[in-house]
Amino acid sequence: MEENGRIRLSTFHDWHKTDGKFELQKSITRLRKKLEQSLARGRKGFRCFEDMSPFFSLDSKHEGLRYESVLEKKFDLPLVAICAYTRQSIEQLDSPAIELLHQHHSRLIGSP
Amino acid sequence: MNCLGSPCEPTRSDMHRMLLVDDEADIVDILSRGLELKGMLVDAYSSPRQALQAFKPNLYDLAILDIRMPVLSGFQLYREMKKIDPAITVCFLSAFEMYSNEFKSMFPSMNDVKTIIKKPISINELLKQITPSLKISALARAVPGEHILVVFETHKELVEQALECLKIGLLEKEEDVMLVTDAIPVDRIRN
Repeated sequence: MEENGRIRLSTFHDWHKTDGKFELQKSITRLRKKLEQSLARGRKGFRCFEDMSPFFSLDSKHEGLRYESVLEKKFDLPLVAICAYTRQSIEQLDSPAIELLHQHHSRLIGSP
Repeated sequence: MNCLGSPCEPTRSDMHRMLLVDDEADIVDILSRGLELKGMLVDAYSSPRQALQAFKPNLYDLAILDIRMPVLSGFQLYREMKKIDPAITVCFLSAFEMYSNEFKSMFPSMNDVKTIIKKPISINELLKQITPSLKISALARAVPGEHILVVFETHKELVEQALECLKIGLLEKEEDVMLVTDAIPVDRIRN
């Protein structure tokens, strides 16, 4: 399934970094390209599940927030983007950061 | 304190809606009250027939069904509900200890049943056991165009649910899927 493009597995580094630097716009361009390829193969859409923990463990939470803020609240494309946080990561964010996350996601799951 | 990390007043549309069916009226009463106190919307029935008659697709985040009920067992009810709402997520209640793997090997056609809950159970323990199912149910109902944030209590839970979520995309939604993580060696997922 990986060979025919149905599944793509990527490390955080491979997906977000070029020559050791964050290239978030490139990540988004790649995401869009993946979606186009899926649609061209006759799929109904593309689902991306991203573990956001490395942004925190690599002391790059501001990069993570910048990434979230570039992504729209809703896409007019058949894309499902799931940003997965641990409770420990979320609790490191201040109120303005949380507000930003609210503004850029269509749904929040797991809030108490 | 923030809205993801501390209790916020939920709007009705944010609340989880559950279906609870058990022929023991006392259990229905106690569990439904307890879940409502924890902020859930609960439709509770002691008659599986009535529950089935009222059942509608895309209404519930989770159904909790007792296995042993007269007239219509929990398994029969599950099969009928699946015909109406193939995406429904179900947990079973049982008076006997039954492990998920054991259950799946006995009933391979019910492979999507995530949790078997042993009675009696406290509300807090029930919530603990159903929370992963509620999250996967919410993710399973994701529609194209959604940008979703999901919070997991542990990183282990995050990784387990990631694999479940991608499986749904691949097998049920006809989507291609991608997982970005450093948590598990990519080779292990491939195998």
